[in-house]
Amino acid sequence: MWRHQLMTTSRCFSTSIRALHWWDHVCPAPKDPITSVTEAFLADTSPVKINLGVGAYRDDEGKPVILQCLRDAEAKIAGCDFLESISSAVSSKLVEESVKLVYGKDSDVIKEGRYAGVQALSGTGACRLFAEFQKRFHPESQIYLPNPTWSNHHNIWRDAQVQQNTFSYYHPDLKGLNFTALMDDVKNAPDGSFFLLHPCAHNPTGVDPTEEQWREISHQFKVKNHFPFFDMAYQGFASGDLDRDALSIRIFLEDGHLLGCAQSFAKNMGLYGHRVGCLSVLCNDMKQAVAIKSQLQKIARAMYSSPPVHGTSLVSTVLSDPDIKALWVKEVKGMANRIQTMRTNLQESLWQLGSSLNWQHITNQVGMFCFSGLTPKQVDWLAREFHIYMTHDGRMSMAGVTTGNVNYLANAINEVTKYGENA
Amino acid sequence: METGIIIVAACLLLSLAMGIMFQSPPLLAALLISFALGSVYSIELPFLRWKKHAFLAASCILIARAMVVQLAFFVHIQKFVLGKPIVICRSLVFATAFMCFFSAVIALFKDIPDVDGDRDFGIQSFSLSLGQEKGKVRLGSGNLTAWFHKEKSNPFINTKSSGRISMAVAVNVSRFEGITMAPPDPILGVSEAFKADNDEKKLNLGVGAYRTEELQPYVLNVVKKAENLMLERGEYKEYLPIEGLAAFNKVTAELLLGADNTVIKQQRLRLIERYFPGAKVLISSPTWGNHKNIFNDARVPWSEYRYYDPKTVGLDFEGMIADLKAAPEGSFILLHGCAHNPTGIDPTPEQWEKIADVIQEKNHIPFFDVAYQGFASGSLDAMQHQVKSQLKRLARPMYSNPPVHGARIVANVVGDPTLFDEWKAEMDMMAGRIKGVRQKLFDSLSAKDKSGKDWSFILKQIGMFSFTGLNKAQSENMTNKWHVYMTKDGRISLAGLNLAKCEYLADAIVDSYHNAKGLNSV
Repeated sequence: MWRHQLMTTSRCFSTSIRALHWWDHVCPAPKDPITSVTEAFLADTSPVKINLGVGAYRDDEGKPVILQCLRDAEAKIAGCDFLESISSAVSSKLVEESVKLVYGKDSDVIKEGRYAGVQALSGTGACRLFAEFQKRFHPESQIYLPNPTWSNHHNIWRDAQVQQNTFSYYHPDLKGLNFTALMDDVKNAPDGSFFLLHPCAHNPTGVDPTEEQWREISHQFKVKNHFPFFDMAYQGFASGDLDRDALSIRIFLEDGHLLGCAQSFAKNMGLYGHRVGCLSVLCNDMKQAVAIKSQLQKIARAMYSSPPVHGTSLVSTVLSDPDIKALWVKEVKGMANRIQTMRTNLQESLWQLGSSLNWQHITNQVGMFCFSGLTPKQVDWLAREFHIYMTHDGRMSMAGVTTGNVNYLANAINEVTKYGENA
Repeated sequence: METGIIIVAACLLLSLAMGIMFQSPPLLAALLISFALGSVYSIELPFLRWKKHAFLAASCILIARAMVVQLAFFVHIQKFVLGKPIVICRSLVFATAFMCFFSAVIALFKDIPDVDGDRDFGIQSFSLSLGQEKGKVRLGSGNLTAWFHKEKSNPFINTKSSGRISMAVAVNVSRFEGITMAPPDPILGVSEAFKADNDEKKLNLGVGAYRTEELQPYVLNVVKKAENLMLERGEYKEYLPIEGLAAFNKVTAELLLGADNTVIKQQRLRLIERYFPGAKVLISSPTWGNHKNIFNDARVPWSEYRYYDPKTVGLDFEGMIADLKAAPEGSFILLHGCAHNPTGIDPTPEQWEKIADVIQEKNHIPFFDVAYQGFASGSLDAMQHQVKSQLKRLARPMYSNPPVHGARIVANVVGDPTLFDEWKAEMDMMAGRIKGVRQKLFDSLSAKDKSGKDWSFILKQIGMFSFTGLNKAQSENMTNKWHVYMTKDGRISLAGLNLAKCEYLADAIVDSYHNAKGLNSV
C-alpha cells in the first residue's frame, strides 16, 4: 500500500517536472490593444480617471446601462424552463428578426427566403464563421479590409488563414473619407475579391461614405464582381434611426448584390456579455440557402457546438414583441442622442478653451467613436498625467464621455495638443 | 422503391420485346449490351456496382453512350431500316468522336454536386478524389450555370453604359454557387429525425441531455435559484474579459473541471497546431463524434488508439496500451476523464495507473475531456501565464469573450456553500435515476432475451451512455421498426430513457439484435 503511494508520488514528481517543460517555448502573447486599455484603466486608482477605450455604452453618470426593454424581456422569459442546446424555434426566430432588421422587412430576399442565416457569437463570431466559410469554399480568395479597421478583423481573417489586404479609407489630413483612393483600390483589386465594409459608424474612425458615395461604390462592385461583406455592429447608433443606418446595405441590395452580413446585438441592445449575433449570406434561391446554412452550421458545430441560449431568448423576445420592440427603438435613439450631445459639448469646450486646432471632425464623425487624430505619444501622456485611457490610434469612445467629465477631457486634450503636432 | 423497380422492369421488357420484334440484330445487341452495362454499373453484388470506382464508371458511360449508341444504331438504321450498305462515313466518325469527348466530360462532372453524398456511400468518384473546386473551377462550369441560370428581375438601373447589362446578368450569380448540403450531424441529426416522427411510441436516445422520469428537460433548482439571485441583483451584461469571469474560472479550477467545453478545446487544439506543428493527437476508437470535426477544423492530424472491444463490449485494454506505446514520442493523448462518450466504458483505477505509466514512459501529454463530472469523477489540469495569454490570443478572433450568463450561474452555484450542497444533491438524484434505469433495462433484457446473452455490460458501463453493441443495420432497425432514435454506432443515451419505457426498449433491442440484417458484433 505505501509502496503504491510511493510510486504514485514519485511518478507525480517526475511527471510534473517533465510537465513543466511542455509549454516552455510558448511566449506571452502581445496584449490586445483594445481590451488592454480597459485593464490599464481598472488598475488605475485615480478618482478622475476616464475610460474611452472599449465601445461599451455608458449613461451620463458613466455607468453601464441595462435597457428597460431588456428588463421587460427578462421578466417575460423568466420561469421559461427550457435551457437546452438552443431550441431551434428560438434560434430561427432570432435569425428571422435579425435579417428583417438589416434588410428591411419588406425586402424581396426576406419574402423569398433567399438567405442563409445562422446565429453567431456576436459580431466576432459572425465574422469568424464567415471567414472560415470563405476559406473553405474559396480557399484561394483574399479579403480586403479598410485601412484602418477594428483591429480584431485582422486577427479573425488571419486565424482563418485567409490572405488579407487593405484598401484606402481614412484620410488623415481631412480626418474624413479618402474617397478617390478608396475607389481606385476597388478598381485595381482583382475581379471577384472579397471586401469587408462597415455599413455605418465606421470603427475606429467614425467616418462614413455619403449616400451618393455608397451608390458609386456599389456600382463599381458590380462592375468588378466583388463580394461585399458587411460588419453591422452599430445599427441604430449612427443616426438613431435603425433603417437609416442600414441604408448602405439596402442600396447594395437594390443593385442585386448577393452580399454577406455580420450583425451584433452587443451595442444596440446592450447585450455585450451575452454574445448574440447573426450571420447571413444572400443566395440565388431557397435551395442554395438551405445548403449554405447547413455548411455554416457544420463549421459552428466543430467550433462551439451551439451558441448560448439566454441572450438569444432576450433578443428574440425584444424583436418579436411589438411593445417591447417599440421601447427598444426609443432607447436606441436615446443612446445615440446622448452620444451626439457629448460630441457637440466636447467640440464646444475645446473651442472655448481657445484650441487653435480644427475639431470639426468630432461632430462630423458618426457613431460611438471619434478618431481624434491624437498621436500615440499624446495618448500616453493623457493616460500618464490625466488618467484618460484610449487606444493608441487616438480612437475615443464617446460613450465614455459624460456632462460630468467633458470639461476635464477637453482641458486635457487641449493641454497635450497645445504644443505638439496633431497626426 | 417498388414503383422504381416496376418502371425499370417494364422498360426493360418493352425494349427487349421491340428489339426482337424488329428483327434487327444490331438493335437487339445494343439493348442487351446497355442492359448489361447498366446492371454492372448499379447492382449491389460482389465485383459489380462499378459506379463506385471512377474509372470503371467512366468506362461504362463511354462504352454505352459513345460507342454502343453510335455504332449499333447506325448499323440498325443504315442496314435494317434504310436498307443501305454499311459505309464508315464522316458523320459517324464525328458523332462517335464527339460523344467520346462528351461522355468523358460527363463522367468527370456528374459527381461534382454530391461529393458529400458519394463520400457517405463510399463512392469513389473523380470529383471526390480531385475535390470539387479543382474539378469545377478550371473548366468553368460556374460560367455554364451563369449562362443558363434563370435571372430574377433585378433592375440594373444604375448602369452608366448599357454594355454593362450582359455582364450584370452573369455577375448576379452567387459566389457560393454549387455548394452542397452538409451531411446531417450524426448526433444532432438524430434529434431532428426524432422530431419529424409522428409515432406515439417514439423514443429519443440520441443526444446526451438529461431528462426526467417524465422525459422532460430538467432545469436544476439551484440554477433557477442562482438566476433569480442574478435577476434581483440586476447584474450588468458587460463584456467579460477574454479569459472569462474570474469567479467562474476559480470555482471550476477548484472543482477540477479544467477546460470542459468545446470552445476551450478548440483553443487548446489550435495551441497544439500552432506550437507543436506536426504533433499528432491520438483519440479513442470510438470517441465523441464531434472530436474528429474539431481536430480536422483545427488542422491537427489525428489517429486512433484502440478502446472499445466489441467482443466483450468492454475495454480493449491490451490494444489501447499497445497503441499508446507504438505512438511517436510526445504525442498528445485525448482521454475521457470519466463516463466515456459514447461507450460508457471507463478504465479501472489499476488500468488508469498502467495508462499513466505508459504515457510517462513515452513522454506523451495527456489531454482530458471532462464533460460528465458528477455523473462520475473529475481531473486536474495546470495553466501557466504564458499559456493563458496565448489562449486569450486564440479566443479573441473566435468569439472575443465568453458568454456571461451561464458563467455567472456556475460561479454563483459552485461558489455558495448552500447552493453547492444543493447542487450535489441534485446531481446525486440525476445520476441515481440513470442507475435505476440501467438496472431496469438490464432486468427487462435478461427476462425477455432467451438466448442466454450476457447483458451485464449495461450495469458495468458508466455515465449517460451505453454502447449496446448493436451495429449499423441493427440500430437502423431500432429506428425504422421501433421508432427508437439513437446514433448509428449503437450508442443509447440512458438520460433519455425512463422506467416506464424500459420494457419497450428491451423488446426493441432483443428484436434488433437477433433479427435485424447485418453482422452480429458479438
